[in-house]
Amino acid sequence: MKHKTLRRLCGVLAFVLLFSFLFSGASYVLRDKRYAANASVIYAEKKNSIDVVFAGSSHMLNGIYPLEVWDKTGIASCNIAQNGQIIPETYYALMECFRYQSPKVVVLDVYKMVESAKMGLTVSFHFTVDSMRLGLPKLRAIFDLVPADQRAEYLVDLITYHTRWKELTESDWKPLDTTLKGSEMLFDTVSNAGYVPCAETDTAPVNDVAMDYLSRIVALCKKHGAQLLLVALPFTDTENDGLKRQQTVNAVEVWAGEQGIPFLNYIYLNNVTKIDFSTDYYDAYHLNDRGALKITDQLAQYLSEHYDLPDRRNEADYASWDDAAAVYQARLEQGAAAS
Amino acid sequence: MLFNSVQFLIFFPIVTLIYFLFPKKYSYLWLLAASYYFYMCWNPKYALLMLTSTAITYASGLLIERASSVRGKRWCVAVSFCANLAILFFFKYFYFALDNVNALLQHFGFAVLQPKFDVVLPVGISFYTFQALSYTADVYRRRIPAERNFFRYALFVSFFPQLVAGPIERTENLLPQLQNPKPFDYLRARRGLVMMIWGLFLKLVIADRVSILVNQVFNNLQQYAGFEIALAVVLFAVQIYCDFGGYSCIAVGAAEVLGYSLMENFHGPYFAVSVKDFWRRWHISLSTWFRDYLYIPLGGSRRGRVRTWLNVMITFLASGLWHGAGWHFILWGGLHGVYQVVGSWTEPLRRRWRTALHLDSEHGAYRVFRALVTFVLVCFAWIFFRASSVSQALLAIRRTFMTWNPGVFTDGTIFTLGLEAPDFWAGLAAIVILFLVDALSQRYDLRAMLENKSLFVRWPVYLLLIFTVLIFGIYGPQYSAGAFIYFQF
Repeated sequence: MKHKTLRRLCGVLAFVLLFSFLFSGASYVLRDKRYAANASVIYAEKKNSIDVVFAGSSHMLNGIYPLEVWDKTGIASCNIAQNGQIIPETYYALMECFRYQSPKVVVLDVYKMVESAKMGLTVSFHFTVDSMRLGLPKLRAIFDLVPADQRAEYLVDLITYHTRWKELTESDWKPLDTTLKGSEMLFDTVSNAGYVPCAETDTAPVNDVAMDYLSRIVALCKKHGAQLLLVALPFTDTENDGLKRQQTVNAVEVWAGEQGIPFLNYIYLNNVTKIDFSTDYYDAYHLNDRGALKITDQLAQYLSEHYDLPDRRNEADYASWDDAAAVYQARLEQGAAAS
Repeated sequence: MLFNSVQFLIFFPIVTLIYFLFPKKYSYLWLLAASYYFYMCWNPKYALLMLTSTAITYASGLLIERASSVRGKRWCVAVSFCANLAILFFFKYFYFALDNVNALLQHFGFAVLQPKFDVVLPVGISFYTFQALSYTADVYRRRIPAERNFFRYALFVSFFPQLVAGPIERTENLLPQLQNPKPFDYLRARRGLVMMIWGLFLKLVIADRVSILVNQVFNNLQQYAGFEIALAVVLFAVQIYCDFGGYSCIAVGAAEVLGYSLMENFHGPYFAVSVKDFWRRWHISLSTWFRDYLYIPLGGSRRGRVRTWLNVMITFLASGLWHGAGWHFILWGGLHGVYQVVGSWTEPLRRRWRTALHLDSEHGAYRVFRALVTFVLVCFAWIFFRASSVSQALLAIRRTFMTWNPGVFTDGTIFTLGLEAPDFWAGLAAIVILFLVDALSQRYDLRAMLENKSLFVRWPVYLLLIFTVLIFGIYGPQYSAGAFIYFQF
């Protein structure tokens, strides 16, 4: 009798394991993986091999190329920023990042400090948590930020993506391509010539939610021994929706000064970055490859000069980075030539 | 809490686990609490209504047993039926009655009546009311003794697997089972789970998928004609079968996991060779309820042909009204009554034809022909069921016959009716699987056959079924998982 029960229990367990394996596979194949690579780069890299992490919104995702940083300085970095990701979401993305990596510097884009919600766009939050491995950061992000009636679709993303069975392509079956270490390159050009940002002294009140989570990020970095560097990448604020984006960034810069946290406000560092408003933008908000290269080079130089970050170019553990850099260069040239 | 909801996915395993951990003697109390919680997820206030029906029928059972005279017993039955039907009438038919009274008043130039309150139809009221009434009738007929334990009786009325959409269980089947709960049985639980997943397949993969096309056509009848509407009607026949049949499978499966055996509610209805046969296979728990508690008490077929036909008509008109407060539902029921009356009336004539043409009524081809004719008749009646009103049903019929456009099947038009090609073909493939399973179920006990196979056959079948539901099911944020159609009846 006992033997029979034990045998059945083992059978159930084996079935559950097999089911879980297939379920996980089906979830992966069906998932919208357009921005899964940047969320997964922390898993793809060797544990604790990353020295600098770039986090935040699409400004960071499109504006900083880790392999350009590698080429110029030998600093091992990755970009975990996400389209539309707001500060509370970034807090949990960083929490997950610290489970697998121990960066010495976290570079945080503060553009989304203007958002007062705890959860941003549905699609952005999906991109943020879908590729996160099941663990406390993922669960905490979902239970803290998502309304109760919507949590299921984030806990089990197959609920959202199962309808993609009719649009699957060959790439859906392949492993994620994390060659670019999380960044996304944009190649088209829009001219924002003539745009003049507001004065750097012009500030607007920052909402409590974003401030709360920024403070948590500060504490999180402190806890893990990472130095926090706040940045605002260049953008033109042309939307007439009442949101004072540049003024908010300027207010955060004032706050950072009070807290003793370094802040690079690239909106006002044009004399250094030499961003050309007529050729370096992809749209009003995002830099294209030309703009991104200018900013990345500046930031790489700043990191190299201001932090004690090792040049890993000759280390055996990082041999694959040179191959990745070659692919990056090829894609960069190919994209630039096509645009 | 819908069966195809995340809440139920959490609720059911927890309830089952605690149920089997509970002392057997008191496990019914846990099921009762779970059933009331399940019901109160819709609207907590309406639990009071169910409690009222429970109290009335419980008391009626005891009083019927204690009454010394037949007259006294009959009074108890009458009070129980009147009170319960009055509640049902008020909550389900008040506005329907009011609209008809107002139409009459307007016709004669009087002012219309304006109610000063809102009535919302409580979920599953028709189901538990009928189940509770069958208890009163069964105690009166001495089929079963009255239940002394109020809480156990309350569980009989509110048993969550079949509470909101049946099957409408018979007292002599369910109540004795509730009195003698069974311990956990691995094989039975496995069978129940397979049944539940099959139910989810019917509901999520077929019913909710084809409903997209059906709703598109029926909500925009003026835009469609001919085969577009005919296709929507046929798919509605599939939708309502899979929606309600799917729910019944989940109900039967969930009860089976808990150790209870509920009656089969559908048995390959579209393989019926006559409308009479259809009603032996469709919503069996309701059709047998009407047979036992209305048709037979009216005299059944014992009082001559005309009276039999009248009884059939009354039964089916009542069945139509049970399905919804609208003339189109009554007409749907009436049509089924007429089909059967005409069938009975023309039977001698048809027999003579068969003899003259040397047709064997049991021959396969002839049975297929009869099944097709029955399907067409049933589909025609479904138009009245699905349309939002009689005028809409007549519009659908008129527009179906106004044009001959078989080209819609070849020129891509069918993929513009709400379901794009991949979804259309996926739905069609699932329907083929359904009919294959139904056809085989006429001869074999497929679940038992599967049970007897080795793990290398069973597991792939289980996994294939589960992943078909997970991947091809219509659910999640992109689609509002439609409520089970039968909840509002």
